[in-house]
Amino acid sequence: MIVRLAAYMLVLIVGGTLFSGCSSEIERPSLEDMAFIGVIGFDYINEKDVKVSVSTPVPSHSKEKTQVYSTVATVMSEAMLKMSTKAERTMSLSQLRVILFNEEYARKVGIRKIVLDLYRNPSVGENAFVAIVKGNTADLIRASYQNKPELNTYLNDLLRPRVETAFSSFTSIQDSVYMMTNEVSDMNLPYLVKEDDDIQITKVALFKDEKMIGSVSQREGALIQALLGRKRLPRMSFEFQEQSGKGSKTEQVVLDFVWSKSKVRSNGNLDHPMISMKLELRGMLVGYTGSKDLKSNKELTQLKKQLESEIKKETQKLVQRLQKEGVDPASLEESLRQKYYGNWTRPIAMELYQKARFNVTINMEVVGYGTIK
Amino acid sequence: MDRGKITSLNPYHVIGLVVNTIIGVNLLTLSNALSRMGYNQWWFPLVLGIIVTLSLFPIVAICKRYPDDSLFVINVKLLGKFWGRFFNLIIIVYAILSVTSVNSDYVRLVQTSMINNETITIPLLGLVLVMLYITNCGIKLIARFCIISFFFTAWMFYYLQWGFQKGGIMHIFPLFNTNLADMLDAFNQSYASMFGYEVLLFYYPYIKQKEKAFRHAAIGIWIVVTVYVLILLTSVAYFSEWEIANLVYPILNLFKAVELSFLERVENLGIGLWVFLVLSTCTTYLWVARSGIEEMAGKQRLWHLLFPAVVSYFLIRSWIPLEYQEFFFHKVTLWLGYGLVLWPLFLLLLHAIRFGNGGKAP
Repeated sequence: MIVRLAAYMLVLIVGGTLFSGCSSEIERPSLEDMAFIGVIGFDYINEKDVKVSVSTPVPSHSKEKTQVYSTVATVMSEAMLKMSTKAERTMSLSQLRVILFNEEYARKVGIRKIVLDLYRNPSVGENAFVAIVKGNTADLIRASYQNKPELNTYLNDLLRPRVETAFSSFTSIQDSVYMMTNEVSDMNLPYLVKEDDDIQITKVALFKDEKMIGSVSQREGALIQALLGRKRLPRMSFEFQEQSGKGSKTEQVVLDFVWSKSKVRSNGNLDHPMISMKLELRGMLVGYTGSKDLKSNKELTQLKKQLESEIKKETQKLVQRLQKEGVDPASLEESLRQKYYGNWTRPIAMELYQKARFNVTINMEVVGYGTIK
Repeated sequence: MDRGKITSLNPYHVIGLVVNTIIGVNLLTLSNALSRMGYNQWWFPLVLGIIVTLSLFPIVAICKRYPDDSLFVINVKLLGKFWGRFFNLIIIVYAILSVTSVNSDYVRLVQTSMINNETITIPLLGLVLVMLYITNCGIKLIARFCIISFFFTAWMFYYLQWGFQKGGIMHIFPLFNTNLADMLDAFNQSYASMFGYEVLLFYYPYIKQKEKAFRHAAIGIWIVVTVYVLILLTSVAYFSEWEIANLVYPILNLFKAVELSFLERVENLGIGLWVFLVLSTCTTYLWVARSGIEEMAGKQRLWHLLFPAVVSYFLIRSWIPLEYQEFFFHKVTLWLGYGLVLWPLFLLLLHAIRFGNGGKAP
């Protein structure tokens, strides 16, 4: 038994020594030799070509925190090939966190080709964020930001789901493919603007199919998210003209939405489709400059009514505008699909959506108003 | 080691064998295979389950008439030596092709997702060696391995919740807007993911509680159906119809959606663990091929095990172009599988003609 074991060991050791000469010339790079791309940006050049810029974090011991490379290519894989010959380390997409497109590219070419190319690549994770940038992404990636974490971390954290930025869809690459390809809605992506030392999510970019066609403000974005059924919404402020004995005065109300629920239903009628949207909102009053006595039930109800009608007005205006532009980021078509028998396609969806009428009901509840009355 | 005609499989072994032989590499592509059904696909496994349960009746019926014989012996007894051996040979080919198709699909997936800059030789060699090692110890060890691999992999269902939360649950609302052509296509595409229960024909002699074999196999089948329905529900909620039709490995993308604070890229873990499901499928089929060869040779030799494994290895690593491999591993295997599932009906007829209905063979 011992002899046998010793014989096996001997074979292993001798074999191991001899076969080590057969190892290939090019080894798999170790972790330090990999350049993990964290942020990737695409800029418009012409219909066919795109300028690709990438940023990779550098291990702590060197001077720069990030390295940036750019190149011009037609497809992503070609760009990777070109950039790998520029970099001293092996490029890898497996840690990709943020994918940026400049506005011009999104408007003129559309993001479908590149997003699908990245989605095909098995080493790209599903949770990389997609966003639109005003101006050039190369400038945004190459810029240095004072008093900010390193760019890859900064952008990833900026686009991470938070209540403050809950007016955008927090679109990951899977979400963007989903929104582009499902038959009931259009894509919307966060819109980034670089201002001196900051990057800000200023508004929400609207897409029709794969091309950007316009944008909505943060407030409208929040309403779209409410219609999509998001539970937490960002803060909103409202201004009302208060009528009192001494003339009119502006009162400002800032609401923190703690809970929301949406119910979107259609009547199933193919000739006169009607979409009813019911929004239930619960908000906390965090700022109030008016002179109402909030402790009195009557005046609080009055304020509530004012808020309800204001939100209703805004929502109605928004959905009518979206309907006119022929885009549906709020996925109102889903309610039509649920009552449609037969093969559902996007043209049918759009046709029904274009002639639908809307009925908005807002149900507002003020759950608290702070510690002074 | 239990070899020879020793009844050794208790109910848990039978259920484990049925469940894990069925769940193999085909689950990875199931949602894609059913894509013609669109969002209606999630209830289709229930239809499959009913059909499979129905086809289990003749399988158990023929086994009950020959409680001590596997299908290889029954073939010879009913069809005579020449024809019996001829069909046994086809069954052995089917078993080898099944092993090959499962292994090749898995190894290709590993290459696509995890080691996309290397060839498949080393992972395939590793897979075949482990497969040989498990199969060498007989059906009882395979059954035990099936049970342990079920528990090794079942906890991965926890990860489905990420896909479920993100998705639109309203998609599951059944609109029944499919037609028969789509359903038949889906049936043909997805039935391969239900194969595995027909192996009961071969290990029936080893089952302890033969009178309850049908019930145990049916329990196994409906566990599989539940698993499939859960996974398809998540796929339907998470993906758009375009994605269902165009993503080759939807499960891979479902795993990619998982976000854990301490671990990234869970899909690599998932695909790695999938080897348990793959091994539990291919070892069962390898065991069938081996016992077939032993039946024909009349004695036990190690090469009876090595031969099918080596053939399967070289079928994958061979010069055969990939499109022909695709044809052999998927189309031919599927047809032979259908044939094998329907085979007991023919045998029952033959049995009834020769010995009268219900009677035991002399």
